[in-house]
Amino acid sequence: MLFLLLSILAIFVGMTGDVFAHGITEGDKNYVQTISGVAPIPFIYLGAKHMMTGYDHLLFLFGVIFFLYKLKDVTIYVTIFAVGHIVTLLSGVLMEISVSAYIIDAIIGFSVVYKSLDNMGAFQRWFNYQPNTKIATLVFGLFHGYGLATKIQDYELSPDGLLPNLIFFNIGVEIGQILALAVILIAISYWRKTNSFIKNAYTVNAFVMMLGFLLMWYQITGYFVA
Amino acid sequence: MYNSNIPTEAELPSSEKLIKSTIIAAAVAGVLAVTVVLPSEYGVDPTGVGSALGLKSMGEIKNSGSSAANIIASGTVGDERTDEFTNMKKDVATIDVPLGGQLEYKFDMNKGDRMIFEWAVEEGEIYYDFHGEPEGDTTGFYESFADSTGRSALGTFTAPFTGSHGWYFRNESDGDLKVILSTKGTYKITGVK
Repeated sequence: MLFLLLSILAIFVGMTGDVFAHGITEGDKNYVQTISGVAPIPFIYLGAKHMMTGYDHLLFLFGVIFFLYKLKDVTIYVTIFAVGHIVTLLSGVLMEISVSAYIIDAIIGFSVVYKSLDNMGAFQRWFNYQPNTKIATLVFGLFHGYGLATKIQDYELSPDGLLPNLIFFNIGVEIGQILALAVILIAISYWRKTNSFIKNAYTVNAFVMMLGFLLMWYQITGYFVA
Repeated sequence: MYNSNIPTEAELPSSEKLIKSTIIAAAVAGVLAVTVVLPSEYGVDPTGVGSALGLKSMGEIKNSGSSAANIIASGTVGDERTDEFTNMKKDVATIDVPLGGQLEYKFDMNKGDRMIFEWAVEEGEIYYDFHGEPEGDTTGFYESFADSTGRSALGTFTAPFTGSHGWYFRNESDGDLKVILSTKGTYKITGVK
């Protein structure tokens, strides 16, 4: 239990530098701007890196798989999430839709709050109704993809080979997601075997919700300050 | 498992508990945001806790986006240039010089004390005079070491006499200026005069 909390915290605070810099690292950007034409491996790498260091995506995924015991269910929900963000990642960049990254990131923070409340049974208690968890995952997947789209636009990609490169970036995102998820799943599986899981499930979700709120305050303030 | 099975009424936490948890979560996040994250990320510090923890200047430097800030953030001052300063604590001051304004930023130093310094403004021109006044002097005498207009300067300085040493800055631009001054050495900061 403590170990898990610490790992979440470590994921959250460990990614200082580039992640907290809101957007992408200067080094990556300089590199990408030298690329013209199709470059599969670099874009796969960048996508994977973005996902593995993106604590906001990881927190949301943590909430999604929290009560999923079967690998089949994990696969279904993660696929729904992936479909959601593929759609907005590609369309966002190709149609050059640009909304403030702070607003999108605040919504991503909200997705963490929403999912934690869902896991805590809040909607059933408050509204006597369980909102469809698959639709929620899809909708928030769309927002998460849009967040990726606003960030990749910072790269100022060359139009030469843009679509294939975006697809490679997306493949990287999925690889990064699977790698990160594997770590979370292993940790949570061990934890589920102990009595402390059910006993502390509520508290852990409340803690994750707090992190979601923290992301929201952080991004909303950024919107007004920057 | 709230997702797939419909839990019984008794299994669900009470509404009061949920509301309380939500409020606590939002409040704890709010306190952390205001005291730690906002000072570190944006230099926004309504409570003063960020300054006390030494986080505010990190946020200010991050957000200034200037080459000066980049130079200072990368910590070039004294790191390689002069061995004698290597293990000394670095001070970074952000000095606001408003439109049409002028001020001095000073240090008390004894004769022979040494300092390595680096300062810059993000954009715009500033007039500066780097000078010192001997301790106890009442005649208004000062010795000027360097004066010019510019955006940045760096170097080492050895105090030729005991007294108050530092910079006079005058805003020569058509907007507010922010000078970021980084120093290492033997001195006592007296700050803005």
